[in-house]
Amino acid sequence: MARETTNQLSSRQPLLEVRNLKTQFFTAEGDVRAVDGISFDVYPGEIVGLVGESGAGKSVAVRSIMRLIEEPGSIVGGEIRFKGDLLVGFEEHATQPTKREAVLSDEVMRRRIRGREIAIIFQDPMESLNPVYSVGSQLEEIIALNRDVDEPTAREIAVEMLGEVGIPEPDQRFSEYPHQFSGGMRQRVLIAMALACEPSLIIADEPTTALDVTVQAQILRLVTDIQQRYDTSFIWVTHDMGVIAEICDRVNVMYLGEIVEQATVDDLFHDTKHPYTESLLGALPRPDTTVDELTPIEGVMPEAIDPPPGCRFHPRCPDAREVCANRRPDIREDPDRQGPPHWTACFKNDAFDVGYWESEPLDGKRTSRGFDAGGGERR
Amino acid sequence: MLQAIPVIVGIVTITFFLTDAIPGDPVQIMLGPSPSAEQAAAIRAKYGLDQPLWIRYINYLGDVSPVWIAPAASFPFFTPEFGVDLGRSLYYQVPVTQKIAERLPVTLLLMVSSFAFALVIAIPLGIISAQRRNEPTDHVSRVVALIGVSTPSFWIGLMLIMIFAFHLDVLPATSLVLPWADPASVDAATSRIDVLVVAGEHLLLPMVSLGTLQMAAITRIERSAMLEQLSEEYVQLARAYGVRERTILSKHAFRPAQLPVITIVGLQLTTAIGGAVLTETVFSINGMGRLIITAINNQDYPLVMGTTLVFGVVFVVGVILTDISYAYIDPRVSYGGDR
Ligand SMILES: Nc1ncnc2c1ncn2[C@@H]1O[C@H](COP(=O)(O)OP(=O)(O)O)[C@@H](O)[C@H]1O
Ligand code: SF4
Ligand SMILES: [Mg+2]
Repeated sequence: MARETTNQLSSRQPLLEVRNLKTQFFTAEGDVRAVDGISFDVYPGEIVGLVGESGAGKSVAVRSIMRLIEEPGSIVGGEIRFKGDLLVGFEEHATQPTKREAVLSDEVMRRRIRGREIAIIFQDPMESLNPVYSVGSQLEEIIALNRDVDEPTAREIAVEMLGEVGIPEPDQRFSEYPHQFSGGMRQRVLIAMALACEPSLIIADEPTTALDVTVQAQILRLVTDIQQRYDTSFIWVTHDMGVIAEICDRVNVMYLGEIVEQATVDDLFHDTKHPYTESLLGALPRPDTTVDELTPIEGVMPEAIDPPPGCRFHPRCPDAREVCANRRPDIREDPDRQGPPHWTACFKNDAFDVGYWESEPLDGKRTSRGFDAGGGERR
Repeated sequence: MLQAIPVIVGIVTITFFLTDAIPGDPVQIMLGPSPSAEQAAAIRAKYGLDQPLWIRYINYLGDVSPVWIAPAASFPFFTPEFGVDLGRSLYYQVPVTQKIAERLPVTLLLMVSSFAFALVIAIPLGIISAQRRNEPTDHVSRVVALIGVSTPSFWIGLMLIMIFAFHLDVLPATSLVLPWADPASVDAATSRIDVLVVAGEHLLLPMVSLGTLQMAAITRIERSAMLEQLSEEYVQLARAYGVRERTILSKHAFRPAQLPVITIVGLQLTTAIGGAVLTETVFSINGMGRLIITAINNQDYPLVMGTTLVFGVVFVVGVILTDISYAYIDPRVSYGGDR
């Protein structure tokens, strides 16, 4: 199982490398820094989680990987490498965002990467299928396009895939239209579409959020089962820590366009470092409750159009101190740590020497999470 | 489709009572300003005008409907009645059906060709506009569409006549020639090809004049429908799976985008009927439009009712065609049944 191999991952080549990715939307109200310098890797055969409240920039991040960002948005910085190909690449020190020579052209991106190498499953199964074409013909078209097979073969693969993802009587359902399918069944169709292309990486952007809990559980079981059989890598986007615990190997926690903590699932749950992750976990009484339904995290996430200065989480952070309001923590690895890497963007991390522990608590009222009781007790 | 029957009965009813409400006396028009009382009474009796309104209405319904049960003097006291009888025109002194059979093909030719002209131009233009939104092509098409929507069709007709018929003298300004007309009956035509050429020349200006408004309206709808489709999640999904942009435009976004277009084409049918009346007047085309105007000017009750009824039927048929094409594109709408 993939989880056991996590420790040796660092010695293998990553399938996907995202470095300092920045994506912005240039709106009339101002520039929205939806993704603001995130980095993460995906290794062959692992399920990497991307978790955070809605609006954190998860969808923008994964759509950037496939270069699906449209007006008024664009990728403005960073680098994305997939199997050695440069999907996104900007000159590091240019004043204007400049694309590097070696970046794949749109045509090559379309022919070689989209669908064939990286497939995506969108959040809303009700909107993801074209209402005027039959489900089967849509599957068939995508399969014929990405598998280099003729239409009868594509049709065979499609029917087989529909059966594989648990759609009863796939032969009959092949010619039915999307409105004849329930939400759960449509999401299965979309999973079948992704799998049928036999990509090396599947990006699942909150594929179960729109579904009810039992259907969600069925789909998660289906995906873990399939993942083990096909050894496909996944980026699993969710705002549900329960889902993360169930299927992921490693996790990236996103807050307001940044990744604030990156660790294996075990470390994230049992050795939580970032106060934001802590509050996400604290907000988890039952495994099937989503972050949005619970509000022990005080306040709402600010807009990416006008992020707070210093640490972006400081207005809501129970551990915030004065230094947090003035300086911005980048994401750093815990220096004296054995075992798999564990990164956090928080001044409580020993990798920072900014005088967090000597700094005054920001807000005297907020004693609940305990710095009056001694902010240093955790270390 | 059965719901078309009450609609047509409604049209017959409204036309009947509205025609009756037209001020003036048809008998007076027929006989001149001061007819003798006996003459007038004879005419009234001949055309059934001496009977109460509601009896005339029932009789008219019976005449108009293809199947009817008429009272009879002997057992079993009714007889089935078949066929459509729209009465005799008071003005032309021929059966109304004969007059309509003469004129209807002309108007249908004009309307169908102007819609074809509108669609052939509007659909590609709308798609290109959507694809190049806010680029020069889009701005040009927007201005053209705006001018098209806000210019009255008769004015366009007059301008076209002035330019192409009077100044350039390249196209005829009056009347239509039916492409299926007998070559012998068409001036300077010896073969079918000649007839087609002459018919085309005659059709061009009225078609453009009547079709411009439709063309402009459909272009705008096509553009906005395509834009809406291009931002749909399933179009994004097609893109994410490497479908060519051309295929997305011509297939994934195109087909669902035609649903609002069909609705507009259906609605445009009413404007087109009104437009046809004006266009026929401007181009002196002997079609249904001019027929109805002659009928009204002469208080020709049967002819007014007959032509109005036929326009009503044309409209209903148009609506039915709209529904059928809608159901053809959208699998969520079923043919008849659960509506
Ligand atoms: N098309 C767009 N125009 C302007 N802002 C956008 C657009 N798409 C996303 N954003 C902004 O980017 C931020 C991140 O959005 P998103 O990635 O959808 O969040 P998530 O998927 O984590 O819920 C939000 O603040 C959102 O308002
Ligand atoms: S840096 Fe400060 S405000 Fe930010 S998460 Fe850490 S403790 Fe909280
Ligand atoms: Mg999202």
